[in-house]
Amino acid sequence: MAAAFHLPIYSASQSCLPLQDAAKRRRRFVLALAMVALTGAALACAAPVTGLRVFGLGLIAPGAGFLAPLLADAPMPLGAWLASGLSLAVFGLALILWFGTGNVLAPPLGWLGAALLAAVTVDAPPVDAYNSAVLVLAWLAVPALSLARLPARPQSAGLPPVSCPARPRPQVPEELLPDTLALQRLLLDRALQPIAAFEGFEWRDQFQTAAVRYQVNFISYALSLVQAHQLPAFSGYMVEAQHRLLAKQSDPRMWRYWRLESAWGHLRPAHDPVPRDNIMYSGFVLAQIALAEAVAGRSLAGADGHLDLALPNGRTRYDKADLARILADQYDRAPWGLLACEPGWIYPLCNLLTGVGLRTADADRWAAVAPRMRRGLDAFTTRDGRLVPFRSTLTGLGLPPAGGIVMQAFPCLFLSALYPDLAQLHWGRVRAALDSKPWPRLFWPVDVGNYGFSRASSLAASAAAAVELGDGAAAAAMLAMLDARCPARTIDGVRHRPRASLWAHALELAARCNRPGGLAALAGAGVTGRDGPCLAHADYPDVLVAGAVAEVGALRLVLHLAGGRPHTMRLARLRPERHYRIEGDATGFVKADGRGEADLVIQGQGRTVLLIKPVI
Amino acid sequence: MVCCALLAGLLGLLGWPLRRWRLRPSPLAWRPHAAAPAPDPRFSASARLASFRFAWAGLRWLVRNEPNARLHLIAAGLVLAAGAVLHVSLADWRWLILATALVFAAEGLNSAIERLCDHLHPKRHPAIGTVKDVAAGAVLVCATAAALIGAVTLLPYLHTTMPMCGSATR
Repeated sequence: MAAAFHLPIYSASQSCLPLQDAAKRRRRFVLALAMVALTGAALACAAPVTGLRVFGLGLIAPGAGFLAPLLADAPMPLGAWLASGLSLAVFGLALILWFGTGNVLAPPLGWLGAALLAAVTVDAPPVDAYNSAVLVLAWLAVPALSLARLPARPQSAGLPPVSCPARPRPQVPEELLPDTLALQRLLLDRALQPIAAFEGFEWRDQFQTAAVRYQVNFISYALSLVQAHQLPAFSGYMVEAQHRLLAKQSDPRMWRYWRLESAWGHLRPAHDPVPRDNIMYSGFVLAQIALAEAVAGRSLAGADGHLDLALPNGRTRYDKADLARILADQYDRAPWGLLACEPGWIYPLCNLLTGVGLRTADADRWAAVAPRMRRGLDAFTTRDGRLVPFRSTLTGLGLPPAGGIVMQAFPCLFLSALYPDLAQLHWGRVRAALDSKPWPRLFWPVDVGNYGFSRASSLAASAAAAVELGDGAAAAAMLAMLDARCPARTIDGVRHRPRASLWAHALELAARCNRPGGLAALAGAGVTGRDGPCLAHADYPDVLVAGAVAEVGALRLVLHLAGGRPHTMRLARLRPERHYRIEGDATGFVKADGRGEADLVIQGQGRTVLLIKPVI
Repeated sequence: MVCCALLAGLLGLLGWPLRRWRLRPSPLAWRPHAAAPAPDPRFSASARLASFRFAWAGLRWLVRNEPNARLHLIAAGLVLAAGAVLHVSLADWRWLILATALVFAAEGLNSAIERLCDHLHPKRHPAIGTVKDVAAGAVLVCATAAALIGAVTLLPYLHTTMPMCGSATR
């Protein structure tokens, strides 16, 4: 049975401040470029001093100063060609630096630096006015063309409906299968090591998507989903892992990048990564705390709060409530309805993740922010309904929706928890693309988790979204493609894919363990059925808990035991002073003490299923 | 994500031919309970390259954690920039390079000695104090010598290019 989706984001009659603001900023930016270029052209033609003329040429376009002999119809040495090309390359790198780290100084410095260098090294006669005009027009063509693509009205109004055939729901495992357990161990090994240790994490840069903080974030999100769906009656090493992952976020190596980004982006150094923008830290950590606590059913805050940052002027502590309040206040004041990650750069995906954190942490604050964020998302939607990856608040420029299908699919994972109708709408478009285009072309061979050359992160992230949206067929196909393209290895009972990033592994675990609407349910109602007995402690990795569910006062455990020796575990939330019978692969009795706890000693090896229920 | 996708694509393309020449095992292969492999005594190019990595990590640590090292780095940058602007001769370049490297190396050794002392004996002790003072004195000697070398090398060039001292030439 086919279902069609045609859902406007909001009524076209409502004003769209972010959209108008984006258009205004883009026009202003192109005008500023034109003024600089025309000033440069005037200097190039009319300045009395050679150096000033060449500098003027350099103002028209990066590296153009070295082209002075060419534009003056004089012989052009090879070195000048090389210098011009190099200047353009340096400017390109400066743009990437601006995109990637918010360094707003890099592009103008690169441009001006090339102009100055040309001014002191190049000697040429006055430039012909015609040649200058051609150069000005050629350089301004690209930004001028971008004005033609300015959205004239809210993108969603009048979008054609998307036909979305019914999809089989994904099969959600009730227990962790051996391969999934081995994958989970990869993440738990990293989570359970000493807090100051970061063995096994991938250290690339700390500015973009391969940053270690994201690896920590997504390991936590994945473990939260596992605990919510397969291990709701187990705390033990899962909660300890969340404790340590959260504590790692207070490590300066996770957040001291902000001092640099704030200095070169806001032109004002700021050591504290929380108060302003930087939702890639504050928002993501809020989501980490909120989801983990929703699953654990208790606070993960240590003696020093959730975050304890050692800043130059003293330690600063933040609790979940502080983070929620600070973010909500910023959203109230945000002119675009969305907040920036890097200074001057807004990423819708980061805002959606922050929204999930805000909704999970404080539903009332989220209720106040939600309409505003929804309107803000419209400025990041193209005419054909695709999401723009990011946009500059300074220039209004946004990158086209490149990056493959994952750029459209992955946001659906978080949209599901915030705006389910939007999630279905976007997933419908993703599914239409998956059904009509070859997948190698859709899934770019770039692993954003470690800048590697593989499709692992694209497939894993898209599969996670597919499961959340209930598209079992797509999820299964993506995971099968992941298995085929990035084969796994198992070492010492731990499974990893050498060609995939740690981030991709975390999303793969989320894809394999989540259920339709699982993240949405966790963000909304939290974990239910937490009243019965639970397994409070098990020795990792000798005892691996593959399933822990409380059923009508009883506890069903699926354990994978190492060796043939006795394993001691701790049960909690039992009825005090009551006897419990153990059935299944082991038999016996335990008696709860006055606090409702009891030690459970099991001798066995391999997969062991136990049912612990009250005698009476 | 798109800009890092572009960057990753570029790096991936450049690194693709080197994928078999990995200098260190993937972090994903790390297992917490596995014993560290014994060091191979035979000469290994990859081990030599790895030692560069450790040295580079040490230099990064030095700049990040020692304010004096940052000062030395800035001073070295200024001196080298001055040398470039003043078009010093090759012979004088040798002196400038030697001076800047000497100060930085001395600062590195001083920091290493300080950290080792703090780690082995965190509390105050006269002997530890003496060790630290001597190391600091060595840095002072090197810094003073470097400053004198810089002055003796650069001043004549400044003298010939300062407008008040005569016509400027390029």
